[in-house]
Amino acid sequence: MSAPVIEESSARADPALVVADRWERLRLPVISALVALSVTAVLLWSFTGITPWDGARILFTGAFGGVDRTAETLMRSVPLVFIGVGAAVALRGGVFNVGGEGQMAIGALVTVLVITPIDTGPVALVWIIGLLAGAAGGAAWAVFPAVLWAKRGVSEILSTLLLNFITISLMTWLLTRPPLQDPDPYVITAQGAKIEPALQFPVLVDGTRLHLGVILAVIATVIVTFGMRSPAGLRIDVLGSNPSLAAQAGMRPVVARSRLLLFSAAFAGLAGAVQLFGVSHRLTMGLTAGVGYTGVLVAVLGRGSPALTAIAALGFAALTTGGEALEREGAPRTVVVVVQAVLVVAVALAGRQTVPTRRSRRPIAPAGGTA
Amino acid sequence: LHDVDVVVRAGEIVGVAGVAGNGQGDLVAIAAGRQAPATGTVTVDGVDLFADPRRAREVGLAYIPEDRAADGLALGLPVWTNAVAKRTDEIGGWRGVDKGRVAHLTERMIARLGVRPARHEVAVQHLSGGNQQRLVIGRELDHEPAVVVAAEPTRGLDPGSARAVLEALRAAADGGAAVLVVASDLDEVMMAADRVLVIYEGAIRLSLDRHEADRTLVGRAMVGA
Repeated sequence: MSAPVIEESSARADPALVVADRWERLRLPVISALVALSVTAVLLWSFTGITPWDGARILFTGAFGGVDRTAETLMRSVPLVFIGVGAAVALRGGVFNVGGEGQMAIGALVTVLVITPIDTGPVALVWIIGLLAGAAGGAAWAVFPAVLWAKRGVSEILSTLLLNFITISLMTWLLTRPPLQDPDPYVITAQGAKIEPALQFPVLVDGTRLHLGVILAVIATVIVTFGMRSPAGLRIDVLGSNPSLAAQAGMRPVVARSRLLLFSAAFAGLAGAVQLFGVSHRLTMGLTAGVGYTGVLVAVLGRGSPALTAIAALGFAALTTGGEALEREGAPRTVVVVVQAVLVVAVALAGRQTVPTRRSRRPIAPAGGTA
Repeated sequence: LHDVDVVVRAGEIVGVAGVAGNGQGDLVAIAAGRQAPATGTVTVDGVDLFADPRRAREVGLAYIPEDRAADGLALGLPVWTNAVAKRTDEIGGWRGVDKGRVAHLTERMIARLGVRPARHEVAVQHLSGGNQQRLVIGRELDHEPAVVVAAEPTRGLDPGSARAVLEALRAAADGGAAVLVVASDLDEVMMAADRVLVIYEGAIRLSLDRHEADRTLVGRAMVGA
């Protein structure tokens, strides 16, 4: 059928609008980043006398100046990428998993439990089993929050966050007594035994800590990027944007969101397994080192896009390694934490402005009645 | 709701008039298979909906919600995503999404009521209210539904969009759909419907054919007089 063309709306058929949509997604994070960096640069200048230019140079060469620094930055980005990409997918579906820290630790724990009894077989097979075990462990650690949310409506933000603290106590308990405690009698800290040297991920560049995990991180990012462009990814977007519409489309929003929580937790568990094989080579209390939280921030910065999240992860890792260089020049280490915090706050505030004013156009008075 | 027994035949538009708050919300939710009635059933061609949205899709039910933002559209997502949101099982391609199929479906849905701008990439929140509603109706009527449940389909729209919406509902009925329109605007119901029902305090109080319907009669029934 033919429809009347409304004059008023033809003005909206502007090609610039399409570009604006694309730019709109990037504009606010980019501006936020610049503001965050400027603010920190000025603070740094006034407190330590390091000029913004020098500060930027030190930060950059500290993160990417030379093979060893670049390798260190890449190595640090690996767990952030896994946690961030998983959290990004969950965010697109409207799920906020802040339990990455605990899920990652449990992932590493389950990996150790599963691979320790294996004493023969090809190394690659043990790695695959270990990675799958880590993912399963991470996901299992999110079952309780998922059930609490689905059955009782308990916010997953709260339950996943609080479970992190339970995990710390659990890990401390497990790592200070047999069978998991390091059997070395001189060890008094809470840590597990070293895994077989043959099972450690190979170092990709001699003299650095850059390990096989960086390749796995790239592969995971690519797979999830294409996954999000599939019909399944589309359904996740609809679920996150409008659960009622998703339900009409045949999805079960409660089930789907629970699955997303488990999915992101599996990625956190994977991060734990990769960190175990690649860096720590044993269970330690410092294995997660806060990346469970930073990974979520990275996903927020990446606005749900797996590729942008991976880039943000690299940026955060660069701030950490570059921050160490700044520290050697006399700047307080916390400068970097301030940059990261300002960055996230700025992007979060910027994000709020783009939330549509949903009900602003609803008429208040019903028409037609005379009662 | 109580004692509500509404039959909508294929090819017919039944309008339910009533002052807002007399049970229309529940009526629509139940008719659209989104909410289970306390007693009784909702059937399409003898198939019970069981308040299951999946079942509603299978029997070919189109749902035009009262609140587009809450139930009809994903405002932050582009037009094409909203267009194919209920058809994701049809658009799988060898590498993700079959873009040609998506473009074809989207084009057909926005052409039905003439959404402006006719662009697939624009986020729906940038469309005017009238064009958002045209998109919802274009999508819902695209699969030649057997049943259409429409709540306040023209409320808040410009006259051009309102006319386009009512024409589209009539076209759907002419195509064999059973159309239920629930609205608080008496003129809209009387203009659109073949049969006018009046709902008051959760019950159907009056049922008139179009030629019997009279503004005063219907208006009085709407306030329980």
